[in-house]
This record gives sequence, C-alpha cells and structure tokens, in this order.
Amino acid sequence: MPTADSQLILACVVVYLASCAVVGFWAMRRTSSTVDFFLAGKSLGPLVVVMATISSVMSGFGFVGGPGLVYESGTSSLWMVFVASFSLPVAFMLTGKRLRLLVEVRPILTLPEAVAARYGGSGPAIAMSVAIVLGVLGYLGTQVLAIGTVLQAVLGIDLLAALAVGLGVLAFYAIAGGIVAGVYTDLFQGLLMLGAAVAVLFQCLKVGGGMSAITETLWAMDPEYIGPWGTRGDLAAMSWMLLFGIGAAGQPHAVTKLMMLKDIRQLKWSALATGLSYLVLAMLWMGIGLAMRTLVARGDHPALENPDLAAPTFLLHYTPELLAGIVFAGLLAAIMSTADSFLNLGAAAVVRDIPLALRGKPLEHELMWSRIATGSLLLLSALFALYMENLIALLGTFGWGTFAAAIVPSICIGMNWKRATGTACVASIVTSIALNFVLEVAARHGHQLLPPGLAVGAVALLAATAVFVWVSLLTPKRELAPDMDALLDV
Amino acid sequence: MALNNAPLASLCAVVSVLGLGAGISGRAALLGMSAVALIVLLSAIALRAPGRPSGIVLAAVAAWGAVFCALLALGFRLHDPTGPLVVVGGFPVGTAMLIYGTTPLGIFLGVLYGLAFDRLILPQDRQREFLRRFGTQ
Repeated sequence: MPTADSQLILACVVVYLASCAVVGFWAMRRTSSTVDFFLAGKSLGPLVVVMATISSVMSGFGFVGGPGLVYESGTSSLWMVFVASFSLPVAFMLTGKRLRLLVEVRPILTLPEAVAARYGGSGPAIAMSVAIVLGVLGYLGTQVLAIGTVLQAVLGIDLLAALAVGLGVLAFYAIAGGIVAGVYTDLFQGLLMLGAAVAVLFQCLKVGGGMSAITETLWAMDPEYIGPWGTRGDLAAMSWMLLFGIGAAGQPHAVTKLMMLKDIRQLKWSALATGLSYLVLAMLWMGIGLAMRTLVARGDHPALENPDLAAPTFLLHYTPELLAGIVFAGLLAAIMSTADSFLNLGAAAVVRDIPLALRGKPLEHELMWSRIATGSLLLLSALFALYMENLIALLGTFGWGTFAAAIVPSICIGMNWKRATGTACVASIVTSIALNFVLEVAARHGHQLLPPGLAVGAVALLAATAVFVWVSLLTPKRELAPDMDALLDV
Repeated sequence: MALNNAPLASLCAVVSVLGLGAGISGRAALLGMSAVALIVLLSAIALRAPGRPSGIVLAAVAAWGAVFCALLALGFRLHDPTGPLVVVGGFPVGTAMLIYGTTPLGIFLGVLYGLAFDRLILPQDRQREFLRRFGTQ
C-alpha cells in the first residue's frame, strides 16, 4: 500500500479514531445488561438501524476489494453491489417482522437462539453457532488485517504498531459498549461513508472526463470490460447476482440489526432506505475502479501491481487532500464497523449460544464474560491475521457464502414455513459448511470442480435450499409451541 | 386457518436444482432467471398471510420478476462486443440496462414492502392481538 504522506489525512484519521473512542465511552455508560450488550436494549431508531446495517455490510472489502475488482475485471462485480437495491429490502421482507416479534415474546438475543426457539432441541442452535463462529473468524481476521494495513499507510508505522493503535480503539469501544457502541459508531461511520462515496464519484467522473469518455476509453481497451458482465463473464455475474441478491438475507451482522429496532413498525420504510443507502455506497465501488482503469488505459498512470491498490492510489494521487482524508477515515470506518459487528456476534455465540444449547441455561455473570470473550476474540483474530494468513484468507473468502447458505434456508424459509423441521435446518447448515469448504479448498489446490466463474457460495446456497426443503418434507413435523405457531401466522 | 406454503417451498427446491444444473452446465442466462425466480418465490412465501388478501402484492412481485428477467434477456441480446459502441446514459447499451434498468427496478421491492406494510405485512390489529396473547418481554 502506498504511504499517505499528508498531515491532513493523518488528522482526519486521528479525529475519526478519537470519535470512536468517545462514542465507546458514552456507550459504556448505557450498557448494563446482556440485552444492551447484544441487542442495544432493543431501543434503536430507524436511522441508526439503516446506517448500522449498511456500514456493517460494506466492509473493508467494499472500500478496497470492490474498486480492486472493478479495476481488474470491469463491471462483473457490480452484480454484487447493485443488487442491494432489492437484496436488502428482500432481507427485511424475509426476516424483519418475525425476528423482531420473536424478541418481544421470548428472551432471545441472537440468531442461534431464534433457531432454537423455532425448531427446538439443541442441534439446530449448535449447528448455527458453529456456522457463525467459522464465518466470524474469517471475516474478523480479514478486517483486523485490513485495519493494520490502512493504519500502516496513514501513520507510516510498522504493521504491529498499526494493529496496536487500531485494535486498541476497536477493543475499547467494542468491549466497553458492546453493540450499543457498535451501532452508534456505525451511525457516524455510515454517514461518513455516504458522504465520501458521493464526493468520490464526482471526483472520478471529473478525472475520467465524464462517463461517456470513460466508456469510450474502456470500450477501445476491451469491450467486455465495460459490457454488462465484465471480463469475468456472464456466469460469474449471474452467480454473484444470486449469491448477493438472496444471500444478503443470510448475513447475521445485517439481520440481527433488525432485532434491535425500538418499534417494529419502523421496519416499514427502513427496507427501502437501507437498499438506497447501500446503492450510494456502491458508487465508490464502481467509480474508483473504472476511473483508475481509465487512467491506466490512457497511459496517464502506470499499471498497478495489485488491483487492491486501486482505491488508495486513486485517493492519494487524484483527490484533494481533505477528501482523501475523509475517505481514508471512511475506509477505516467500513472496516471497523464490520469488525465490531462480528466481534459482537462471535462473543454471543461463544458466551451465550453454545452454553445455552449445551447446558440449557446461560452463564452466570454473562455481561462480564461477554466483555472477556469480545477481547479474547479480537486478540485471537489478530494472532490469526499475523501468523495464519492463509487460513484467514480461506475463511474470509467463504464467509459470505457460508452465512448465506446456512441462514437463508433455516431462517428465511424456516421462519415463514411451518412444515420446516430441525433436522432439515441441521442438514442444510452442514451442506452449506461442507460445500463451501470442500469447493474452496479444492480450488485453492488447483482442482477446479466448478465451471470458471461460477461462485462457490451460489452453488452452496442453491444446494442448501434444496436440501432444506426436501429434508423438511421427508422428516416428521414437530408440534410448534403456541407462540411460535401464532408467530408464523402473523 | 393456517397457510400451506409447502407448494411454494417445493418450487423453491425445484428452482434451486434447476439453478444448480444451469450453473454447473455453464448456462448463465438460465442461472440468472433461476435466481430471479427464487427471489420471487421466497418473497411470496414471506408475503402470504392467513386471512389477508395478498393477491395484488404477489402479482406485483411476480410482475417484478418477469420484468427483471426481460431486462436480463435484453442485456444478453443487446451486448455486442464486435459491433460499434452505442452509448446510452454514458454506458454501452447492454450495461445501461444494468445500471438504469435492473438497479431502479430493484427499488420497487422496497417501495412495495413499505406500501404493503400496514395492510398486509403487519396490520396493527394482528400485532396487538399477538402481543396481547404472548408478549412478556
């Protein structure tokens, strides 16, 4: 990553980190129970939920990897982000009402608990917890590494020192304030990212000489690059549309936010607002990648060694210093907001979901253990990121697909279909984890079992959905508890 | 009167297998249409509710799916990398279908959710009755 040799950029990032710490201190005083720590006391307004959802979904991958993908393969990856216009509203449609009503009638704080309430027994909850922990470790490791890399560039220090600064701030607000700190820093982070995305899009168009000029340059370079499917081809584009269009409803860091709304009726327009806000963020994803590739194609900038350098290079060379500073802060915001959501989900799985499924009752001093688990997970993921980079890369790759394939059938279909069974829930989660792991590991070892371009997660999602429905129809139906039966009729 | 969503769920399984077959055999257009069909079916499962006339909303979701598939088909048909560049709104015509067609069309589902929320998705009387019977938290 190029180094930002600018006091203004440094100042923007320092102000951002200090703001996170202040929010953490404020949230600490509002966190006195596990309901506060994991569900923000079910007290959030719609603006906070919308911003927390988009900023946790738009991770560091969105701000760095997204422009990198566009730089490398053109419009292919736009099928990941432009589908947000419907994928996030569909997520609200499939999960919002019933999950939010469920937390009104049962003492439920997490998705595995919702699964336990829906299907009974400990199997579904344990399977869901395992899927979440695996996904969390991967996501968290990649975010931790990204925090270190960005701060290394901005502060000009070595990776270990950069990690100490970034994770110190993250640890303070995530441990002290739990999800309360997480969602209110997300609000600040989301607004920052939205502003940055709009400003950067205009800068991209200015640098490229307008959209038509960018298109003419890129068409002359390679018509497929700026065509509807990009250079990765139509199969990659369509499988990403499927995986991201449907899979958004299976992302626990997004879906759990809906359980935190103060008033369920605020779901009404939040679905649309979430989809629209995410679309605005997608402008940065598209704009930087296309503008940077145009500059290279015209010979105005040397080819990049690594596509992931597209965003930092564009910001450092082609945007005014203040805007670059704000976007660098936005980049850190994107990474940290995802990291805090996953820390909270991971801590909930370790401290609450697994003990509840195994012992039938929560731990004593749960809030204290939740804080300890949050800190331990952060430390563990930092060690993983530093010393087991290959494992982190693998888990990071399969995170979205595993969540999608594990959660869409068991929550999105299961919460809307009475005939769904616990055995089917476990079978679909096992299918999801097994397929994602086997296909990803095989691909990494040179055994391409799928046609080029076909996303592993899309295959796992389709297979898990079919398995879930068929196993449900083939296994005995379990009598639902009266409240659950009524919930599925509301 | 409880709803029977088994036919729709079974259709989800059939469409998933169809999508798997399309993906593994490299048929991108069919995979895309399977994805849209799956979104429509999942939305229909979520939107159906006993004792409430959901026909118009379900028809709207189905129409959304049909238009989305038509736009995808147009994208496949209009993109000609060997022909001259035809620019619409700053993008090649096939890409413009994605940027200006499918993206705003997606917003329709969010609008539909908002419009249908009070009457179909969660009528206030149903919410009150449910919470009166079971609400303890």
